[in-house]
Amino acid sequence: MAWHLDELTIRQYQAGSGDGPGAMSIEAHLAACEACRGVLAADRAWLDRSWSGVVQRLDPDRSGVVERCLRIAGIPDWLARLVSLSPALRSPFVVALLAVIAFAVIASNLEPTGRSFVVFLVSAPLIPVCSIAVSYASRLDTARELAAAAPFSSLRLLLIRSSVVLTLAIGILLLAWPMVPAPDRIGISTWLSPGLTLVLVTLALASRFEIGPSAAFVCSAWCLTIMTSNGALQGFQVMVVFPVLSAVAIGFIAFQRSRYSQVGFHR
Amino acid sequence: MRVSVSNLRKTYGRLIALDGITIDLERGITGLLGPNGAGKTTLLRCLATVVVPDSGSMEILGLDPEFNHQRTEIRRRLGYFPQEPGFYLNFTCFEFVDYLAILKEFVNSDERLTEVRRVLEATGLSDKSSTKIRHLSGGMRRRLVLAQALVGSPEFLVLDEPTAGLDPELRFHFRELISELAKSRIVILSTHQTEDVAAICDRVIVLTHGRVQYQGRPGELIGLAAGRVWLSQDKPKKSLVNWRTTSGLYRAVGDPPQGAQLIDATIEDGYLTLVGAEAVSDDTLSSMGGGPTGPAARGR
Repeated sequence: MAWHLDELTIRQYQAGSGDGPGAMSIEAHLAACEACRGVLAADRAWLDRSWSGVVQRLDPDRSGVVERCLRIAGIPDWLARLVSLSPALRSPFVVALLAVIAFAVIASNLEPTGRSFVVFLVSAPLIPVCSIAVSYASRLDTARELAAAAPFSSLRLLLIRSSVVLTLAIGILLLAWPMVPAPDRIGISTWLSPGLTLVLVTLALASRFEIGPSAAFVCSAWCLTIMTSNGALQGFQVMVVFPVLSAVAIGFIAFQRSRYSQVGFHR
Repeated sequence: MRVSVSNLRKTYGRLIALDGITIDLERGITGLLGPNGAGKTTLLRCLATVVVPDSGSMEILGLDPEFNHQRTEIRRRLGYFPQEPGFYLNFTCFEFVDYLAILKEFVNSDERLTEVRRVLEATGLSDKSSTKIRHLSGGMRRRLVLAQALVGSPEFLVLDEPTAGLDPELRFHFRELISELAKSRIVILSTHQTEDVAAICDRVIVLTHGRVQYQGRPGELIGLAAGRVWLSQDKPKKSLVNWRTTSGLYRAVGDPPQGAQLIDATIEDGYLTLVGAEAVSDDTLSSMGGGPTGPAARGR
C-alpha cells in the first residue's frame, strides 16, 4: 500500500465523526492495509462482544423445548442442558414408556366390573423402577465409563437422571390414572407411594450391586408382597411402611455415597 | 508432573488382571504393549480412576485416588479414551461433547460452548458438529472420543487403543495429534500397533500376565532383538516365531542357527523376543502379513 491514513483521519473515524462515504472509503483502505489496521486502537471488550454476537447469529442456540422450558422455570443453564440431553428424554425411550403404560391401562380395563384394575396397581410402581434400570444399566448406558472418569459426582448424575425418568414415568402414569376403573377408595397414593419407595430402594441397592440386578430384586420383592397381600395393600402399609422404607433408603444412599463413584466397583 | 504406580494388584474372581505393577510415567508418550488379556485395559482403567485396584498405591499428578476429594481433582485433570467408549447414537457430535463437558464441570455456557468448539476443531470435527453419531464412520467416532478427552486441556491423557481400526491415513493423523498433545502432557497409550510405539512413544512398557515385562525406551526394546532376527528360504524348525513374508522368505525371531542371514531388528522383533509365542494370539502380527507360527503356537 503506497499511502496510509493520517492520524487525524483515524481519530475522526474512531470517534465516529466522519461522514458515511468517508467512513466506507476508510474501511475499504483498512481492509487492504495491515499497517493502518495496526494503528487503530482496538477495544478488546467491544471486539469480544461483537464476535460473540456474530457467532450467536451464525450458530444459534439449538436448545430444545424441554431445555427452554426448564430455563424459563429457573433451572440453571447447565442443569437444563444436562436434563434435556438425558438419554431418557429421547423419543425411543418415551415411546416405549407410553406403550408399557398403555398396555397396563388396557389390561386393567379388560374386566370393568371385576378386579382387573389391580393390574395397574401392581405394574404402576414397577414402571419407574424398570425405566431407571433401563436408562442407567451399565450395558445400556453406553457412555457410562466416560461419565465415570469425569469429576461430576456419579451419585449426583444418577439422581438427576433418575429424577428425569421418574418425573416422566409418574407424569404419564398420572395422566393414565383416570382411565383405570378403580373403586373410589383406591387413590393415587396406593401406587405412587410404593413406586417412590421402590425407586429409592433400587438406588440404595445400586451402591452395592449393579442397578439391573437391584431393580430385578426390588421388582420380585414387590410382586411377592402383592401376592401375599392378596392384591390389596392396606392403608397402614401405604401410609407408614413405605415412607419409613423410603427414609431408610435415603439414609443408606447418603451413607454409601462414595461407593457410586467407581464404575467397575461391582465387577 | 508425574504418575507413579506401585505394586498394583487387581483380580476379577480367580483371574489376576494386574499382578504387582510398578511403573512411573513422565511428560511425553508412554506406549503400553502386551498380548490380549495382559492387563493393559485394567491398568488404564485404574489410572483413569474408574476401577479400584485391590491393593497397591497410585500417585497421579501428586494426588492419591483413594481419597474422594483427590480422586475428583485427578478427574478434573484427566482425559480418558476408553477401549470401548460407547456412544449415545441419537446425539449429535456437539451434544455428545457438550454433555461430557458439563460432566467435566464446564457449567458456564459461554465457556462450555467455546471449549466444545475448540476440541471439535482440534480433532477436525467442526463441520460434523450437528451430525448425529449414528451417521459417523468408525474413524470419526474415534476422533469424537478424543475430542471429549481433550475437554479442559487435561494434563494426563489415558488412551486405550485410540488407533485401533483406523485406516493408515487417519492413524497418521492421530499420531500427529497425540504427539503434539504430549509436548506438555503425560500420555499413556495402549496399542497393538508396534509401529505406533516406534513412531511416537518416548518410553514403552510391555505387560504380560498382569506383570511388567519391560519398561524402557523403544530403542532399547529393539536392542533386545539385535542379532536374533534372520531370514531363511525354508520354514525355520526352531524359532520363537516365524512367518512367511511377501518376498517368499521366512522371517524368524529367536536363537538363529549357525550361518543364518541376520537382519536389522525392528520394535516388533524386540516385542516378540520378550513376549514370544504369546503374541501369536495377538493382532500385533496381523499387520505384518502372513500367519506367524512358532513352537508354542503350534502347541496351542
